[in-house]
Amino acid sequence: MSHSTEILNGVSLRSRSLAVFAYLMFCGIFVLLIARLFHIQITDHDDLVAKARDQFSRVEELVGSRGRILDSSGEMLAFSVSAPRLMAHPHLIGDSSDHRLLAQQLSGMLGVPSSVLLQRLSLDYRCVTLKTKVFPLESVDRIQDWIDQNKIKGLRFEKDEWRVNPHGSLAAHAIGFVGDDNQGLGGIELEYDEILAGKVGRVSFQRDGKANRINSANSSDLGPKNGCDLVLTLDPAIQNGLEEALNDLVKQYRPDAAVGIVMAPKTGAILALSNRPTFDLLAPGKAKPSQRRNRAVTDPYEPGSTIKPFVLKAALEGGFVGLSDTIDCGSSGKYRFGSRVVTDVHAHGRLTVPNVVVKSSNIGMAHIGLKVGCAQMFDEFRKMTIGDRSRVDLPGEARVLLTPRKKWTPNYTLVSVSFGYEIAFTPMKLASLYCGIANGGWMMPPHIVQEVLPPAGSDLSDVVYAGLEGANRPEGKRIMKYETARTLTSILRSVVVDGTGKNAQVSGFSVAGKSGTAQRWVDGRRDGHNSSFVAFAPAEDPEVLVLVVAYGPKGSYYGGTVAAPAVKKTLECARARLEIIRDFGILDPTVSAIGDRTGNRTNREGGSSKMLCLSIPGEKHP
Amino acid sequence: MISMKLLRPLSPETAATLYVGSVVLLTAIGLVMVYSATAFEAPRSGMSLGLFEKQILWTLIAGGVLLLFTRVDYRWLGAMSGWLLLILIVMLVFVLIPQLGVEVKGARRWFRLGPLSFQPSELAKLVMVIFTARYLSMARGRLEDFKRGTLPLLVVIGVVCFLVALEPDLGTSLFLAGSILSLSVIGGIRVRHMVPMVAVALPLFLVFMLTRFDHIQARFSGFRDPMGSYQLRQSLLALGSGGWTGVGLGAGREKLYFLPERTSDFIFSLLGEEMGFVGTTAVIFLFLLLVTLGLRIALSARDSLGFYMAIGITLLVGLQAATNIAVITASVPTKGISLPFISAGGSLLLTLYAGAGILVSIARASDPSGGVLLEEGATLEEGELDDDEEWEDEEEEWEEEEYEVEEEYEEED
Repeated sequence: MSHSTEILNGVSLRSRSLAVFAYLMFCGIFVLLIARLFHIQITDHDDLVAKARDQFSRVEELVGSRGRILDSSGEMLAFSVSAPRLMAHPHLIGDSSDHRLLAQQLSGMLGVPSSVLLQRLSLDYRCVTLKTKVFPLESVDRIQDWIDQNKIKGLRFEKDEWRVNPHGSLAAHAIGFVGDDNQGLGGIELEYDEILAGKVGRVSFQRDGKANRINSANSSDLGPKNGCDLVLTLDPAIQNGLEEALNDLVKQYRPDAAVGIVMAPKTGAILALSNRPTFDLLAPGKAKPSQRRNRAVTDPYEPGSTIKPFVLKAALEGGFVGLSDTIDCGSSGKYRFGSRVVTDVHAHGRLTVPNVVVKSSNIGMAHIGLKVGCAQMFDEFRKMTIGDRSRVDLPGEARVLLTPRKKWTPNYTLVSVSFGYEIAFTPMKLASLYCGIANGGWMMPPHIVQEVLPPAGSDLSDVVYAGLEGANRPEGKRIMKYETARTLTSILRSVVVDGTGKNAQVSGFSVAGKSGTAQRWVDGRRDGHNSSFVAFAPAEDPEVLVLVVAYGPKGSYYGGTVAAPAVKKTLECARARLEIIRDFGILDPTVSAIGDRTGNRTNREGGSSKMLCLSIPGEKHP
Repeated sequence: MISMKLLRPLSPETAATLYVGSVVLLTAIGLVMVYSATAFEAPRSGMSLGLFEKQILWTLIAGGVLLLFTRVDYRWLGAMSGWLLLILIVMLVFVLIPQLGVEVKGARRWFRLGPLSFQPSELAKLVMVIFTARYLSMARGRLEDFKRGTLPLLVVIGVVCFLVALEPDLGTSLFLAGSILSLSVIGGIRVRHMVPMVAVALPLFLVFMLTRFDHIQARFSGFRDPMGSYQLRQSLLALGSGGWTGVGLGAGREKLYFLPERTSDFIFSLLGEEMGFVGTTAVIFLFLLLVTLGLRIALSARDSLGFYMAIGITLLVGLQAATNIAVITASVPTKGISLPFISAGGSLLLTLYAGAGILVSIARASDPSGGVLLEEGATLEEGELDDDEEWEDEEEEWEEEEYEVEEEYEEED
């Protein structure tokens, strides 16, 4: 034992030294770890807390339900049903073999090929959509049960809606349709999108690492709100009558397109609106653009003879002609104005001023127009708002094509305009102008939305108005003297009694109307005719106005032949409807809508705020 | 040794008592954290035990094992180390057999024992410490000789680590190799003797790395950019949310399925969130205390076997704690190692409690005068030393025989 200091109890000094060295290393490592923890927990504290909070806190945006569109009787034309979207978190589901299995299992339930599902699951996203608009709710429940039973992770339903149009193509162009994201893409759905759309609400909550919600919304959150319902002026019976009349017209004359508008002259309300060709609202994606075109507002056309009452108005009110004056319309049916020749269908000889309109003599109208003069005629047109859009609450209205005042020439512009050429506006504009005549010279603004109904729990002051509905609607405008309007009405009555509009006669219903037949220009060439007929009744106190325009009819082309029968059918239907309304005392469509709305409201949310306020005066609605 | 003089007033027995006290304290903290990490979940239905209940059960069993090992003479354990190694190897082989071992997440590491499951690779840590301590104390004379001294030990370490790596449990395998080789170096194995082993192990390790390249690469990239790795990001968010004093026990949010392995590998992150820097530092000081007390007991051990065992046990606790905390603070690139006494899991708890019992046994058997090794230039009476030497010589022969049996077995394997 020579090295007693080296070996103690069998342990060498080297081992002991190494053990102590190792101990000191431990001390060093632990000090370093404490320093590291200080850095993480104290120095970086604020930064990491913020990042952690980001991870726990989520703000979810919820969208309220889109409002319904009702006709004036309260019948639903468009409404939304819950059709959630199935979302998947591929990384929570597992690896590619798990994805394949899930795709196969879901394929049958969703009706989507498993290869498509697998492809979506394979995308390198945190969250993918497996199927939008899962419907009906039973299949949603079935899938949810399956997810719960098999404890499938990473699948969830997200709220979404499917727009349902129970009446298919009925008034399709007026109602319009929505896209996959429930945004309005046409008609009322587009024009009133902001009002119909559910309002986005923000709900903040805490979540755990499995994306489960931990606590509920706090009070400062603004929840989602349902969109407003819209009550349209459309009358279901009249709309159906118009649709059938147009169907018959299309069957008989095969026009390229046709438009029908029914309005209430006293209010400017559009009672029916239809276009041909049309499309099914349940499958708007399958329709061609030409089918979806709402020609009533988007396509200006040369009105032809239907403009003649307005030219006559200018002449009468300006004192250029009297009702008893006669106009020489020639004995040949042809008349030369400068370098151009104007023709009539028949040779009329000398006609009284009213008969010029009744017989629809172009030559006679040209003479009357020339008496008025370019400047005066232009100013009269402006006064009658002929140069302005109708401002109907439908999207995409085309402006009026009217030659600027400085470019008017007597023999061309003035002569042409006098019988409805060199000027073009939409069917809606024409119908609106005729409503002015029918309503004693006072033209009400045309409109299709009768009322905006706020969702339960809020009132109209919450609603941002976008259009002409309710109190925002202008009062209307006088476009001619009352006397002039009545005179024109009696002339138009004669048109139907013994002029070009005999086909529009309805027995026991005094119809006043005017035919219009204009050569059509397509791509710079003459191509067929636009045949139109506009009529209102009863002439003594007009309640309903019908305009039908057929573009390029085959076989015949006179407005009195092609369009007048359709107008007649529609008027017959409207008369029956008006009688019912009068008998049951619900003349104002709003009344019927409110009466029905109470019931519908109860179904949806329970009680209308307006009705509650009425029944319990003085008590504030919560 | 000057620094060790500070420990002189502490008698080995007091040190052992303090050690056990610290262990109990850490275990209590662990139970609180396991409870906090799991209590928010809905109780399990039926007869199966929740994680917390299992941990209570394990703690009770571990307490019994600790008491048992305080009564067992560590020298007897040393004498039995060959058999212990044999049993360990049999267990490590059996656990790989599908009918016997339980597979979880692609690794076959567990035996099922009723409601509990046991991981032989954790037991391997203690058995290897006992075996290596015994070997080092027996073979001191010939450790200078590579073939007779170093190689046999390296072969045993290699075989055990290989079996653990087969499960696969690369983390435990590397940890085992690291801690036992550290013990061997302290025990007198020359570092240069390990060069051949490294030469053999490195290619194997490289092949392994290449086959699981994505996995390993992910670990390294996670280390370089902790916030880009989900697990480390969550760990840092948890720790960082804690601040000085934490968000309060039970109030942590990271445990709500954000933090991975929240009851085992990353429980310290949860502790950091709920108890803050104060809590994490306290736990680190407790581990430092364990290491200090372990060294104190080792240095006053009656013989080299006790010294090496105490050093080995201390290394196990200290290295594992340091590695775990380094990993979850994104300080080193690896993972898959739990925090001693605090992480849920019975096998390691059992092993470390047994180790604590052995430390008590070593302390109890130490020189009654105490701390003789701490005295610089201290001398012993010659007789005392001779006795020891004789005792060792006797045992050495036995060990040699046993060792040969061992080697045969390995070849069969």
